[in-house]
Amino acid sequence: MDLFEIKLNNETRLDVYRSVYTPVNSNMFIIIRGEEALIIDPNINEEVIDLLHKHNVNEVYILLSHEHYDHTSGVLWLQSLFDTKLICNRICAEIVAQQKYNNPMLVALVLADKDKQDGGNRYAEFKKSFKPYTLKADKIYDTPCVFQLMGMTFKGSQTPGHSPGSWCLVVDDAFVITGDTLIKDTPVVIRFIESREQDYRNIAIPYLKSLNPELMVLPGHFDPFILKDNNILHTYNV
Amino acid sequence: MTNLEKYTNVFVESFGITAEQTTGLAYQGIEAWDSVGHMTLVAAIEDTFGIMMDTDDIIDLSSFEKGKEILAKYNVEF
Repeated sequence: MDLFEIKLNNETRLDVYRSVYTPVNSNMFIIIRGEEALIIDPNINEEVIDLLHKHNVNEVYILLSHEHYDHTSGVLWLQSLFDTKLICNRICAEIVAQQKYNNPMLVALVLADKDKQDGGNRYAEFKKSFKPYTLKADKIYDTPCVFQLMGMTFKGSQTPGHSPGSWCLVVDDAFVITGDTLIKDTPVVIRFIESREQDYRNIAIPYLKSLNPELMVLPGHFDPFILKDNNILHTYNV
Repeated sequence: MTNLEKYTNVFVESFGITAEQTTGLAYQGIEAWDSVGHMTLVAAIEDTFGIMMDTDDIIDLSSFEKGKEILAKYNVEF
């Protein structure tokens, strides 16, 4: 795990831990305040348990940026260990509630590709350990929405394109959780069967362009960054 | 339309290529047929032939020709 610091205001700084799900480099972010923790897009990492215990965390909020497997793979694991509340937008909640959509096929394919390169056994191990699942959200938001959590204000907006259940959340006007709707200097994947390029261009990009360029971005993959430092937005004509 | 025409069309539409370019086409042989493209391709094949492919078969679908062998297991004849 690594650690980033976000300045919420002149007096408050927020520690944000990040764990990377290595098959596809997707991010899990962990924010702890008092005895509560917010975990964004969980993957399975035993270090997280130690971190939460070290801070005497007794309430865990799980927030999904969208419904894809590489962003939900650790939800059941966390739910088995802590008192949790799963937070989703309505579209995401409806999708993760259906087993067929919690499909790990892309991750399985990537693991199989790596095995071909080095003779590894990742795919077979993954296949053996994977169990089909459904997720039930505890708190479902219709977007746009504003809600309070752990003393912070979250402003959620649906940003379809990469997936129907994608949303972005601006937190305390200091940072924005973008999931796979925005990744630094990397074209967003809008080639999945459920992706909609038109939605990305017409809804997600105008939304992202409307945000304060000084916001820190917590993306679904790769490193956090300041919004204004991202070049990819400039390649889209809206 | 024959099954071969349907199968070829899936590749043409998924990857934006011509029917002639499907000959000898292999996974990761063109930019569009990467891991994400593979997911789109499989979804289109399943939709076209009304089947649900096994995970191992999805992984093994490494070329245009190999795909025809795999589909035979699902009673899709060419």
